[in-house]
Amino acid sequence: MTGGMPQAAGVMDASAPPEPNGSRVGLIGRHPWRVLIVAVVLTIGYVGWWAGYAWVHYESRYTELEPGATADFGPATTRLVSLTVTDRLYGVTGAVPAFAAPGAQWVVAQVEVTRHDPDGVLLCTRMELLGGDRRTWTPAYAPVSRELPSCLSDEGAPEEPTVVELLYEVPAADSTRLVGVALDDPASSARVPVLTPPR
Amino acid sequence: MTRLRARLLPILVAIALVVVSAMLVKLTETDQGYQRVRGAVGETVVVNDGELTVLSVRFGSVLSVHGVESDRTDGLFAVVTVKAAATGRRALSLSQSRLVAESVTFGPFGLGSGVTADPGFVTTSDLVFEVDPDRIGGLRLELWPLELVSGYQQRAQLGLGLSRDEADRADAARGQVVAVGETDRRAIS
Repeated sequence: MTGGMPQAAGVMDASAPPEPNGSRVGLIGRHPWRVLIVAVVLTIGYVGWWAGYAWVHYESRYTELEPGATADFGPATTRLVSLTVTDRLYGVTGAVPAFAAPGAQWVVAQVEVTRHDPDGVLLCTRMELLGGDRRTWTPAYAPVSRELPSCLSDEGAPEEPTVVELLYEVPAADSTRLVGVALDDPASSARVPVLTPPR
Repeated sequence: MTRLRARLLPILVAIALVVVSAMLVKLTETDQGYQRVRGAVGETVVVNDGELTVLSVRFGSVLSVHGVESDRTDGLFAVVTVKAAATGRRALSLSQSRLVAESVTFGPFGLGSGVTADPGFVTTSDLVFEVDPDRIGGLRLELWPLELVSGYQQRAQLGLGLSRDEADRADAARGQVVAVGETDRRAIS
């Protein structure tokens, strides 16, 4: 036991010489309050980090892209071609338009989609319209038959740019403060890119 | 003796903290796992991302949808008209509902069991329940969001204000037709 092997610091050693006052103590015994304080600080730090992360990610954070810029979204690259506000939507066949709800307006977003992965699913319902006060609206079902497709969820030739049309119904008070189309990927905690129309 | 005490003290403090934490958790937790938001007919309550108001409750044993008789019951249909306004950034979605009486719970009748509103919109819709007219004392409407991942949510509990006399009046609605209106949707003005 006394063959000259060094002892690891802080390890209780039954053969260690006694403390000057006669009792032998380990690391905890020497600094009990320091260990407690470290444990409390680590616990508070962990809870604080977790709470901060949850607070930051509770609501989506947005990054507004340059006008007309592209952004990758799932299996495709997307670009906002135009963003138009109108009171009524006309279909390809009938002359009777579909009016927005009282006090509301239609917003027509034409988005160019270029698929890279033919098997990937494009989450069109997550292409949300972002308002000026960070309100978001999900795409609405087209009340009339429109000329452009509403999405390319599982179609579209690879590497061939195709324009789709997303419809949103928003309060008229919000339609003057629209920002663009947010590509909100539920699988990502990163900032949400927002497509904005070209100037 | 002093060193022994110094060694034991942190352990005792740690055990005490665990015991206190467990007691606090036990004292603060509720059996339901949700926060109640209480209201009554005609009273607007703030819940999740919007406001909720029960406008009226009507009874009848024949259900009329779009002017056409659709269902009959030996009990009663309760048609509760609810206004939901999404005043915040996100949509108000309370797609789950039930009527709770003193001793029994009634689930929604058919589809369309809850209320939803997009941001900046207000919807007014009729919720239909089939109830036992003899057991509708203390009836209240409960609305809550559908959850894929369970979390601590708010649940609206809106008393329909049915006293015994009113319950008797509901019983008098046997054989009467009660109409279900279309959902009205408009921007908040």
